[in-house]
Amino acid sequence: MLFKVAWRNIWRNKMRSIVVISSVAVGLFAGMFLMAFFWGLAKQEVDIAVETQLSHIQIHNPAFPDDKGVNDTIQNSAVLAEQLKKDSAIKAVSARIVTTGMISSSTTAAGVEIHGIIPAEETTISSISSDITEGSYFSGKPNEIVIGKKLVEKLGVKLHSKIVLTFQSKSGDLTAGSFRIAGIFRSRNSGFDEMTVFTNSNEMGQLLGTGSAVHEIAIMLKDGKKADTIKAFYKKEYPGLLVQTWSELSPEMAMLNGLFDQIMYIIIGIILLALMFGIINTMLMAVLERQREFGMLMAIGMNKPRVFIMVVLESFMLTCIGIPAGILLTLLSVHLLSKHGIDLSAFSQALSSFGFSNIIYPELQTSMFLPISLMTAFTAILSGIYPAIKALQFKPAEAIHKI
Amino acid sequence: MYFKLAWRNMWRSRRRTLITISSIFFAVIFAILMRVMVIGVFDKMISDTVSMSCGYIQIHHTGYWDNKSIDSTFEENPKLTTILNNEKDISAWAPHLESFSLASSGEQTRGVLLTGINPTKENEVSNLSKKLIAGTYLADGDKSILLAEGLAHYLKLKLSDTVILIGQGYEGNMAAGKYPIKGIVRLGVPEMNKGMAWLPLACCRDFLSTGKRYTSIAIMVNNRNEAGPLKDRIVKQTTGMCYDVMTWEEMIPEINQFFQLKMGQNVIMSGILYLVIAFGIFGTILMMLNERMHEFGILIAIGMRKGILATIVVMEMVMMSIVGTLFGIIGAFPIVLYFRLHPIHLGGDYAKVSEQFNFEPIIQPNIDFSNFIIQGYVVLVISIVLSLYAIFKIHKIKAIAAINS
Repeated sequence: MLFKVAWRNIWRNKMRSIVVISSVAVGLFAGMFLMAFFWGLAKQEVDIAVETQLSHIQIHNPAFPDDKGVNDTIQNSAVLAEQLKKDSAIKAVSARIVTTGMISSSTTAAGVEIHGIIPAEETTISSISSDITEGSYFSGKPNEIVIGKKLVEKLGVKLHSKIVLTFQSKSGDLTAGSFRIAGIFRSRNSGFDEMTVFTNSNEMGQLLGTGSAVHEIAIMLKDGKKADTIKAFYKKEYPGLLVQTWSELSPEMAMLNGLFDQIMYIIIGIILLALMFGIINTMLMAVLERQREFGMLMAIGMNKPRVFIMVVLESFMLTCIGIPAGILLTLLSVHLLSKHGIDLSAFSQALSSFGFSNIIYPELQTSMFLPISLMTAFTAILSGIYPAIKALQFKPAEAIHKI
Repeated sequence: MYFKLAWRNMWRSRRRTLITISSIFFAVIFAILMRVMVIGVFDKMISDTVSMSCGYIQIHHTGYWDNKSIDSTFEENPKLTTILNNEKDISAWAPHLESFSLASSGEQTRGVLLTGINPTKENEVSNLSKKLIAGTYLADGDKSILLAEGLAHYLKLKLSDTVILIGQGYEGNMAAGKYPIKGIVRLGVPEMNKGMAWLPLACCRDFLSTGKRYTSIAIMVNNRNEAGPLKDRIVKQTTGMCYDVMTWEEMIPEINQFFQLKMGQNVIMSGILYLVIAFGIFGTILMMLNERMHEFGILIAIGMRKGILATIVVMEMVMMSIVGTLFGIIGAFPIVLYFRLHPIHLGGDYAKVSEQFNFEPIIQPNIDFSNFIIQGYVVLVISIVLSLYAIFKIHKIKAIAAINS
């Protein structure tokens, strides 16, 4: 009976109901859309880092990451690489020599990380080969080096300039090798561009005295989401090696993502509070407007608990209509925007030349639907209670006389 | 006359007025809260990064930044010191003598960025002594060295062991020296942790044979926004003295760009909050108009022109918006101040990782008053624009139907 009355009340004043329903819908939309926005953003940043630098999984000698020691190579790396290539979940594998050293031009010197690679393998795993702005990604001549734009500027050199790499060889001696710049790249990570140079792995192997041994095996998966399971598998298979996923390799990225996650929860909290006050005010106005009606109801014998329940029931019903409407709104907008992206270049001075993308593609996580819907529903119903209490305080005789 | 009517209308139904004002009041508070929190996070990130790397402003010899040669240094200059000491906006400044050299334990060798520092002043800028994990901090006359943890580990050196430094000194001089390790420092960024070393300034000058020279002076300011104007003032006072003055935005553009990018993304978040706020205010306005239909109907029936009625109603709303906004700005102040004094401590994995990186895992709002004004202004504009709906609504009124509603 009460249910029916509440339902009819809702449709008696359509304008009022539509306002409350759309407030709920917009609140839900706000929360979900922000989630989708942040999720798309985080995913995009991870993708860039994985493609240029981290790859999905890397394998090292357990002693290697701390010291980057020349002798900390991977045992039987050639056999391991062959086996990895046979795994159907793995898209590409690249074995690298990695060592630190000094790069010097005629004028100045800088510290760098030297990657000795097999160009054909490396192309399949990192996007650096497509980020070449001058020259080429190894032409096959001897003693070629590929370095970043930022480092080129720092050293004051040009394409085809000669530079010298100095590093410690396997026997502990300082060794130097002279290289010619074959290509210059500019990736989306300027720090990487300044710190990393690429050479041929057989030439580096000779200079270092490590032969065909490598320090690092980078793995690109067909499906990045499986990184953890595949890592676990190989970790078991090769207990003597250090197998790490991209998130373990780059704790600073995990940190930034963690930070923005927490900020997002605070922001969603603020939005829900704003929503709550919006709904309370609207409902309060709606109840005040109906003073006369409530007075009449109480005068003809409706008791206070029933009036209270009726008002709460109304908020509940309005919420129940608002939430699906909000979900629909979110699905629609995210679907549209995930195709075209949100172009923020008008608001942001961030330059694409620094490798930042100003176009964000929001992506919905279906697991977020339930918690956000529940939070919105809770907020909306909670905000219906105060006006309902207010309704109880009317005195029937006075209320009827109110216009 | 109209104003008087509007004023009386507002006081006639105090409860209704209060509800409308409060909806704007809360909207302003939320808009301000969100803004100062987000800006506060960026402030913290930037100041943590800048204090460990280069300071908000650096002074170099002309051309040093592009070609970091030890020959491109500048002599101590009492005039410059006076200028810096007289600036109120400078919270701390410290001279640096930086050079890339090789550090060796005899068996292991690695390239390091060696920095000659004034221990006391450096501590005011970068809090270096807090990052010590073993040994003691440098004192002025010491002939000993501080090593970053990763570097000491690589060189397989412990406290009190001797490290050999080899490098290129001033004007092509060969630089070589042996120094006992006085302390070991842990830095957050892995690259820095593996390649930094510090000597007291005098000792570093002997090593590099530079005489009384610096490569740079790093300056910290109280408020990030002061860096730009401060730079201009220093440039003005040092014209003709062969100095380059650079702000952090010029020295580490990638951090600035990252910050700009996040600010751009923040536009979306603010936009969504404004949307929610606008719906809240609009709902209140709509309900209010609804409630007063009877009154409007009678007024029109006794001959009031719709235009005048609309003017009065909009006037009421503009007044309520202004009052709500003012109270909102005032009301937000204690809340923001509270969080400023009691920052939100972040938990979870983030806290652990961020401490490794020397970031304090806290959110502390920015208290720059301009944020309050801007957000108040935005909400005021939103509510005034929304109140224009009343004009539309009043023009559609049919007197008879309205009286009977």
